[in-house]
Amino acid sequence: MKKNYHCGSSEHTLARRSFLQSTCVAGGSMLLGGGLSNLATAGELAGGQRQLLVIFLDGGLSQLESWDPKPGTLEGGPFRTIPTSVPGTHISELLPYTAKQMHHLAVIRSLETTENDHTPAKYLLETGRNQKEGSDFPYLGAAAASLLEPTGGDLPPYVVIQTSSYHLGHGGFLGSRYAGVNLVRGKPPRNLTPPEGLAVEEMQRRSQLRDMLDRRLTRNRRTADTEAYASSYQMAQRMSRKKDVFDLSKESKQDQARYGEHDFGRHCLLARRLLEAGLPCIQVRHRAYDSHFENFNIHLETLGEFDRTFATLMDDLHQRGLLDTTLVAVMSEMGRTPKINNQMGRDHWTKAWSMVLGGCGIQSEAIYGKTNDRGMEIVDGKVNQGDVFHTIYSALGIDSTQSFQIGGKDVPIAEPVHGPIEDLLT
Amino acid sequence: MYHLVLIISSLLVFETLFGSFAAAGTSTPENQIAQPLHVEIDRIVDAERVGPQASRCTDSEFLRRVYLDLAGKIPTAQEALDFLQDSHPDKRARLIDTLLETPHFDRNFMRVLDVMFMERRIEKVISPGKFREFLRTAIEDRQPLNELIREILIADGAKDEERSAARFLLDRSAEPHILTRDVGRLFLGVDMQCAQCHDHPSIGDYLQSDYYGIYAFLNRTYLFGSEIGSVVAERAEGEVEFVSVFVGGDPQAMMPHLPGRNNMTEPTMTQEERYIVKPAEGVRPIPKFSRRSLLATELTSGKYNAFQKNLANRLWAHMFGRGIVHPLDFHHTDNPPTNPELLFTLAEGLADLDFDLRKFLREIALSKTYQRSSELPSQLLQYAEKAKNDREKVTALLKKARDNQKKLNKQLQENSKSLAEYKSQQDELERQDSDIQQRIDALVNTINARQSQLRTYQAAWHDLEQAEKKLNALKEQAEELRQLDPDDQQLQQLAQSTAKQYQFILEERNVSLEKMKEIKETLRAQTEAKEKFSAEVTGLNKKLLKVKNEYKKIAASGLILEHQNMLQQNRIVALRAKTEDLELLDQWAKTQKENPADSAAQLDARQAVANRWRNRFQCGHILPLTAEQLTWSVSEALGIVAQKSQEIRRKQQEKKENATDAKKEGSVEIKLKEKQLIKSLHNQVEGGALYDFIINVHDFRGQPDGSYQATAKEALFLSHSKKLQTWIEQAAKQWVDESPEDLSAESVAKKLYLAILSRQPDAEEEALVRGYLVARTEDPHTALQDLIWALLSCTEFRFQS
Repeated sequence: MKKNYHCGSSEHTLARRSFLQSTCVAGGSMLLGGGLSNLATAGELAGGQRQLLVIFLDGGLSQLESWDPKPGTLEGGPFRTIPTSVPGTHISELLPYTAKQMHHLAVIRSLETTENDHTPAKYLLETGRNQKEGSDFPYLGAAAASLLEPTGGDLPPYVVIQTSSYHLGHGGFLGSRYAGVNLVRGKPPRNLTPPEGLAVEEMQRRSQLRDMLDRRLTRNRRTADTEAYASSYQMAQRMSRKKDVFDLSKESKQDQARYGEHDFGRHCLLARRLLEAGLPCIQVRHRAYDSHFENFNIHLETLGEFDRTFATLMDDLHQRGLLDTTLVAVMSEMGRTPKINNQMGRDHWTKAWSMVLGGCGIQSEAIYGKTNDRGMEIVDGKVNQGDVFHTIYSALGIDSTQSFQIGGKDVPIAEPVHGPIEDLLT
Repeated sequence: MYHLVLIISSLLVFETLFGSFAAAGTSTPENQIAQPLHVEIDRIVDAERVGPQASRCTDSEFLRRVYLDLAGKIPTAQEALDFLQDSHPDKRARLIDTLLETPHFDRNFMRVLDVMFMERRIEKVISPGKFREFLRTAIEDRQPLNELIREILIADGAKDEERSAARFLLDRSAEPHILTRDVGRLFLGVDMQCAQCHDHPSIGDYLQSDYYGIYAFLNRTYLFGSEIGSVVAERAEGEVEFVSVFVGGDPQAMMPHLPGRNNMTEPTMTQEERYIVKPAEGVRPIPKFSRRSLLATELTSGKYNAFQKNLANRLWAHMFGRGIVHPLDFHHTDNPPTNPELLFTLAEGLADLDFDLRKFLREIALSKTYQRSSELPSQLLQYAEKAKNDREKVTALLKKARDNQKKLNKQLQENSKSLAEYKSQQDELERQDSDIQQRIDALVNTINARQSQLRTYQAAWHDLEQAEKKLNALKEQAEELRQLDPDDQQLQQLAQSTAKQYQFILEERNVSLEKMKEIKETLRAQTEAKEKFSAEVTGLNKKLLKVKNEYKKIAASGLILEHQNMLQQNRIVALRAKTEDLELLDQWAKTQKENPADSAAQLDARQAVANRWRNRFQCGHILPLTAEQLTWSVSEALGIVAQKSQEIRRKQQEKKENATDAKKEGSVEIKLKEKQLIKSLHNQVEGGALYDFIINVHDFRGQPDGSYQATAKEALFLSHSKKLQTWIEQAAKQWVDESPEDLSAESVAKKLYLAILSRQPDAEEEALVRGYLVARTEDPHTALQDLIWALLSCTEFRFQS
């Protein structure tokens, strides 16, 4: 089956002006593939380019061993709390470096979600929607990228940095245009440079030859799609030329050491590098939080890796002024039960858990919501993923009450029954 | 009354929506002589024309287009050359017929139908490959499409031979809501997802009752068994009720029905009779009556127009890259077909051709509409300068049509008003009728009572008469006795008492007689009254019949009016579309005149016209190739297909030679083997590259194809993929090896263009190729590789025009 015409495909590239007009406006009702026409300026409205960094802790971080500790209670676990750079705010002693960066962060301690199993819960927290068969929502990064992408960018609008080769960061109904480019183990995107045996100069010659030969159809039969195709080669070339952006060896040995000699350290350093290069949306994943057994040892280990690297990243982003324009979200698909099971583990828990936001648009130092003494219930400020997504979009300067226009149908950017958590926004 | 009007009007909405109006053909008198479908297509599309249409496409454009659409790949260089050099006037029709019979057609449509039905869903229960093989067999066997769809809706996967077909249900977890939505989207062209919870807020045709009408066919279906080995099961009970989340209220019960159709009934059976296999722990129940099978049969019967329309629209979209209704699953009043008559005719045509995939595609491919160039006609701009006049004419026509419609609407209003009047008359008459009937009933009751009273008197009368006679005799005897001895006191007394008794009975008799007379009187009066009432009823009934007949007549003329209204509506849609066409043309001409220096503005204006012409099928489309088409075309252009084919045949030959007992093979065996060989060739070509193309061209596997989006990912893949580079090196080497002595620019250019772009190069292109070869004489191999890559990556190769 052939694919229908889609005028959103080229709007941010070369032909933006001419084709946006002709296909979306003048074409009128005959063309239903309206793309993102009405949102094309959202990024511009945001006032300066804003960027998104999501750090996704895979498997479900224990809120009790991190942002909402309950020491001294029956199920509080063995760890103590420590004071942070924000007077009055205490977090788990497993995060000593992060504690010193808390003045850049805001904590939500009253999150309640509905999905208790990894796959649907991930869908929920990655897209902000319940997984319904047939519906095809984009990942947060893809959706935000479509709204934040600068015109004529040289870099992919959204990347996912992870150790697994399992492809993540789906573009959903926004399509491959905004799907996350996966950087597996911090390696550059696939096919970024010519294969062995094909010199860069040869490739350049090829491109020039291509431009010369590519005439017949483009002379007087250009469409938005053919224009977008032509410009995709230019973007590919620009990306290829910017291959250093993806090259971590260009970072100083010192910085590499500061971030840590492990995947997460390298991934966060790469994230910093990409943010500096202006890449709009980045997700870094950190693995193995699903602590059904040995919860405390697992968190000791994984957070040990997370803490120093994350704190270094926050500090760097702040030092370099990037926090003014970058929203940072540390999230998971769920939290963990206060009840400790008989294998010293904590199980899946969605009733009262935590998440951290920071950076542009976010009221730093804020603590939002409250759980009861043992962390079993939310006693104040209950919110869910819908509210969080609205908050993230708002912090990025995006009007989350607007809709995507997909094939003639309106799809709200975020669940319309929810809204941003105003207390967390500046 | 209100309900009736509502029913009729909603019926008409659906008739308009799905257009199954029996009389619709009458608008075209030419229809009386049945024309082949492709002639009809052109007639209808031509009627929509404004100014010049795009010319007939060139042979090489047609060649590439029809190959990609029917065979799913470009032709080989030799095939291209043969066709281009063929001078037979019928060569296009012949090529169509040839392609319809190639194994590539089967493979291509196996993929096309797979994407259509499964939308690149990942494997859950049944492997996608098995499902595709099932589709390939169906296509090879020329199974009518409606039967194919019936089969995949019925197949429960319990029997091995039906297991592959059951992927449609099983890999949707046999979940009734998923199935309801996809039956709506894929087979009826309507996405009623919102209607699961309430009537669609903005689309009047998507009703919750219709959603649940389909759902009620499927609500008893469920997944039985563990994931991998699971099968589809169905219960014999379970009813559907729904509540609107907007309106609330009591749950409404819903019987199975297709949108716009009546509720289905199901046979009444006792609990005992309902199952062939009764449900029990670990046992898959089999009901005697399957609602899902009923859906499959009703949907695909060929009598439900919406089904044909959707299928015709989807196949049309395959050939043109755009549906007449677009998006393909968004058919409703506010998103009408761009050409309702065309869709109607195609739907009828599909059914008339017995849902034969090849016959239907053949008609489309034969049409002039399909064979139109993708380039705007050169005279169009000239025409645009005069478009203003035509626009005024069309505007006048539109005004007239709108006036007509207003009149029609008025007539329709009057019609429904008089319908209402007659209905109220009828109601009044029926009320009177029932009034009188009640009185008659009351009378009949009293008459019956009186009659039974009379019967009692009459029964007693005989006794009274006997008694009177006896007493009279006694009285006379006693009198005689008394006269014999007048002084006898006793006799005296006897005579007196007897006389008294006689007197008494006589009075009794007289009273009774009176009473009977009286009852008879009343009875007569009442019977008369009854007859009078009955006569009145007869009169009333006559009046009622007249009113009812009148009502029917008006209702019938209302239907005709509705139909006229629909035609008028179509006419207005057509005229309005023409006005918009002309407006765009006018704007283009204006831009040309007012801003001759602003090339961007002119490009915009021209582009707007081109888009418009394409979507109205007045000009050919320019479409990106799918991952499947791209894989096969790249493989064909670079000689990979030929190479693999040779390898397979060589191996086959070696096997044959090595076989010790070289027994003779019958023609059936040879045919089977040939089929096997072709299949393994197809699998090898696709196995080598298709996955890479899919993940680099589309988003991910498991995603339905959305719109085309050019991405850097794809460009990087085509530029830097190791595999492609190896293929290009191989191809260049092979070309040199084949004719090492002939590396002249002319022959290289010809070879390259035929193999990759399926056409001959023009002089300018030849010069470019020559220039490049001359500039790189020190390294002709690399130069050849560069040329191959440049042509493979150019727009003309990536798109179909």
